[in-house]
Amino acid sequence: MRFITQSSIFIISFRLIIGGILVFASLDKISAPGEFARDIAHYHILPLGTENLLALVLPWLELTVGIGLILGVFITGASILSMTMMGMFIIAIGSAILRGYNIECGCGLKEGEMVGVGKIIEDSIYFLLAWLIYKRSGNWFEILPKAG
Amino acid sequence: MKRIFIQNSLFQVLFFLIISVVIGFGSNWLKDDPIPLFAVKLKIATTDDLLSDIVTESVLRAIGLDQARKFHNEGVVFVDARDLEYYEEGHIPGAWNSNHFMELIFRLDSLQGKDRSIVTYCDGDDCGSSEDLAYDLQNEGFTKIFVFVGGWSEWQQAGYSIKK
Repeated sequence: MRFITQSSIFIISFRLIIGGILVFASLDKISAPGEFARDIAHYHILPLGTENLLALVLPWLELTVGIGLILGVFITGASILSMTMMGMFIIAIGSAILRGYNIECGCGLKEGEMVGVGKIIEDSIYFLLAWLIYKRSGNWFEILPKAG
Repeated sequence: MKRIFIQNSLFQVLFFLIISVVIGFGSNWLKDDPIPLFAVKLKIATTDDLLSDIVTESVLRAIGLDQARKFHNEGVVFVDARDLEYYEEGHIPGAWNSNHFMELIFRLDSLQGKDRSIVTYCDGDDCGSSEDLAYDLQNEGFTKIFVFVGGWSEWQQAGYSIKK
């Protein structure tokens, strides 16, 4: 893995991929937080109606972290949060599958996308890319904090 | 000192979290139709909701099997919110499928206008698409929408007639 974490091309590509996906996924959720809250509610994970709190914050977290990764702002923090979000999605989707729920994923990438093993594999790949960004050995095209 | 501070991972994580919380709650607060901070579960339909022929305000309520059966016998339109393949495998007799949403709205509006009862359903308690569809219909101006919570599973288990 070291040759990847030492390669500026790989790391910058991963930043653009994860950043782009996060920004794209956030847009629908930001425009319709009520719908996103209902998508979260279908997972039956959060108690006491707290899905609305998550639906208000998570899309903006995706957007700001995505922009951070693309522009090169606080990449370490952005990669930690990317891994955390992907981990959360994997657990949520996995628990829905184990409980036999046939529900919409609410992932924000494709309309009507359902939970499934494919989504877990996809999010695991994104998790791996975020981890590689975190383990990077150089600060290529990072505007804050400046390298050196 | 400042440099060490902003290189700190915890600081960076908190930076994104605080910005997201502030913008998320702030933008919701500034909206014309903000969502409540805590979700309210769909209320069970009361007798008033079920009987009111003259609509004074929009009704979006949950109903159980007995009421769904009653509505079905009365000829109320049922809309199946599941994917077309599941609908084609079997559905509540007379139910429409919701896969072509604009066509569905047009048909509903032409048949009965926007102020007559509509029942939506999906697989069962946990599917959620019936509730989504109900909100979509409400956004399109339909005023009396009932979500049959038990859905297809409960209908089948009760041994009521089905259409294949």
